[in-house]
Amino acid sequence: MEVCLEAIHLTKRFPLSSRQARERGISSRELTAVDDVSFQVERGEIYALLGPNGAGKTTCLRMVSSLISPTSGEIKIDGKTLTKESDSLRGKIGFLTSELKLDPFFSPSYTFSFLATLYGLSEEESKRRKREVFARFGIDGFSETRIKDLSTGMKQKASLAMSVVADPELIVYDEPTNGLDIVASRDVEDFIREEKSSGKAIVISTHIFSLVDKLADRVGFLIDGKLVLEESVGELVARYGSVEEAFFSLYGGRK
Amino acid sequence: MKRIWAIAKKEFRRYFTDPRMLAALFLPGILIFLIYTALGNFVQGLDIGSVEPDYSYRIAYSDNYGSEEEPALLTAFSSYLASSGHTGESVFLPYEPAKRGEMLSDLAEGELDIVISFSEGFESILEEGPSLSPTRPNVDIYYNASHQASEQAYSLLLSLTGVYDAYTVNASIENPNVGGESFTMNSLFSFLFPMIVTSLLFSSCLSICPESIAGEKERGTIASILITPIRPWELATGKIVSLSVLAVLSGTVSALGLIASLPTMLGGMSISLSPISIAGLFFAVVSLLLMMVAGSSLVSAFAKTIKEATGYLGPLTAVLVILAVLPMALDLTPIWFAFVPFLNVIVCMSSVFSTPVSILYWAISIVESLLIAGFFLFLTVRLFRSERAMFG
Ligand SMILES: Nc1ncnc2c1ncn2[C@@H]1O[C@H](COP(=O)(O)OP(=O)(O)O)[C@@H](O)[C@H]1O
Ligand SMILES: [Mg+2]
Repeated sequence: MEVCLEAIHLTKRFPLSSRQARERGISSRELTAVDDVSFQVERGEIYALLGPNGAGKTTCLRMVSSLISPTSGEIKIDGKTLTKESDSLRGKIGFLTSELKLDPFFSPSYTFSFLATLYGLSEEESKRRKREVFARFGIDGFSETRIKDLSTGMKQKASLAMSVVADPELIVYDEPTNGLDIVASRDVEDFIREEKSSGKAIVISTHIFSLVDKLADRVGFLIDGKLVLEESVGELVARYGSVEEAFFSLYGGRK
Repeated sequence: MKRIWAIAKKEFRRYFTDPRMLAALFLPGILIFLIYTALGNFVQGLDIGSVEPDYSYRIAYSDNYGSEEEPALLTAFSSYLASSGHTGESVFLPYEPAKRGEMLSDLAEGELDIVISFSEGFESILEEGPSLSPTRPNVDIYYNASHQASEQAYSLLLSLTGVYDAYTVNASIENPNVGGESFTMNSLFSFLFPMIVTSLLFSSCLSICPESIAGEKERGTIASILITPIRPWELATGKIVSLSVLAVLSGTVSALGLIASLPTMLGGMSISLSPISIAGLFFAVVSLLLMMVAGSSLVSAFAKTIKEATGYLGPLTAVLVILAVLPMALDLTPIWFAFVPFLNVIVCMSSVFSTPVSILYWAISIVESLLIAGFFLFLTVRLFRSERAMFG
């Protein structure tokens, strides 16, 4: 299989204001959110970063999608260094996270065209892609309604649609099923599987064990910013019965 | 370029499809119309514009004039008044030159309307005809600008003396006005205009910039833009350009409101603006606006929420408005004040209606304001690039 994403010795340190440091009860003015993390994701593969809240999952994925840059280490997409060619490489990444919102004042249709322009799609490509994606998510019925008037489920569909405007090769989803009901969660899972079978490289983060069992090919356990274990999901299930059992028998005492 | 335009178009769409945003844009113009119309009605009620037709002007003149007869200037004054329908008989009072001080204090107290003082040797004009000697005789005409009648008599006398080349007028005095400053429409505008322009422009910035920059941060929508291949400078430029256009639109509506209210405002009085003054005002307003938009954008890019941004900018409104009336209290026309940002543009706008300032003063003020706007834009781009500011 062909490697799409390489994360090489990724480290992210956040400078803290003295107030932030005091609130966290640490004397250092710096917080290491991600500490020397390396992993690879191949095309047609789903890789899950699993860890408790505050483990550094979101920080990791923000670096991978070039929203923030690593303090040290390197990210390569199709062999090209992200920090050096971020403007062109961003077009190959589809990113979804709960803090990344759609403008409530605009309709899904307008938002899609707007983002397509920013991704450099031509008018024609944009229209064709919109038809395709909106049909896939069943958005046509509310494509002209303002985002703020949509239900949570509709918003989620719109967000998924916007994450694949430019038909990205790498899909980066941060806690993709958080806050969704069972039907909407299932939709997301189905979509991720579809993208996998069409040969995309996929990274998700989650703190939900069952999602890893159902979806991921490989999993990395992230604890306090460190990648403590990386293993194929099939292997873990065979050895421990489930990912949850594996996690707690290996790291249960730590946190 | 396509991306900058896309960012700008989104901004326009946002403002033109939302009634609340439209109101924020155009309400100031409607308000200015209402305020100025009300103010105009009030000013007209003050009745500062006219002298009653049966008013008797009291004019004292020094008796070293060289003739027993009434000075020709005063004869011309009476006959002009009579011909223009004025019925009040003017009173002319000769006085000994030594008593000029007394006469001037009478003038200051409003007992007299005009005091005329002929120089020694003035009579030679009558005896020898227009003198060809290099020292021409002089006549000083004093008035009191705090009295409307005195001011009118003065301007009439000045226009009557203008036809003579034989003697000079007011050559030996610095200020012919013994009273306070006159209350004219121009002096009213010289402080109202900068103040109202400042408060209106800044309030439109305040309703636009935090909403569209800090608002995007607060709502988390800026991240969905920054993960696309757009460059930070494209985003910042698209924002600032569109916000400036919106603020100009809002400012234009304000200006229209101003123009619509002028007829009531001016009543019988006139305000004279040359095309050059209007062009000057335009440049001053635009440079002021760009500086304000770029500055508010910078603050909005720095703030995490709309509330935080308006929290910084709101109190600034009061400060700016107070600074805008400073030319009333202080003389800021010396050239070194042209280097004081913001105040220099205020002085320029004010100067159109009062004491003019030099072209150099204008140039320094406008160029400096544009440079500051550019610097603010530069800093805003830096902030858009900083992950701490965007996702801190
Ligand atoms: N911008 C930031 N500034 C300071 N600390 C941060 C910032 N972003 C995240 N952190 C801290 O880094 C750690 C990891 O956060 P995060 O990546 O969001 O974890 P997760 O997504 O696994 O819950 C947390 O302690 C969080 O508080
Ligand atoms: Mg997270």
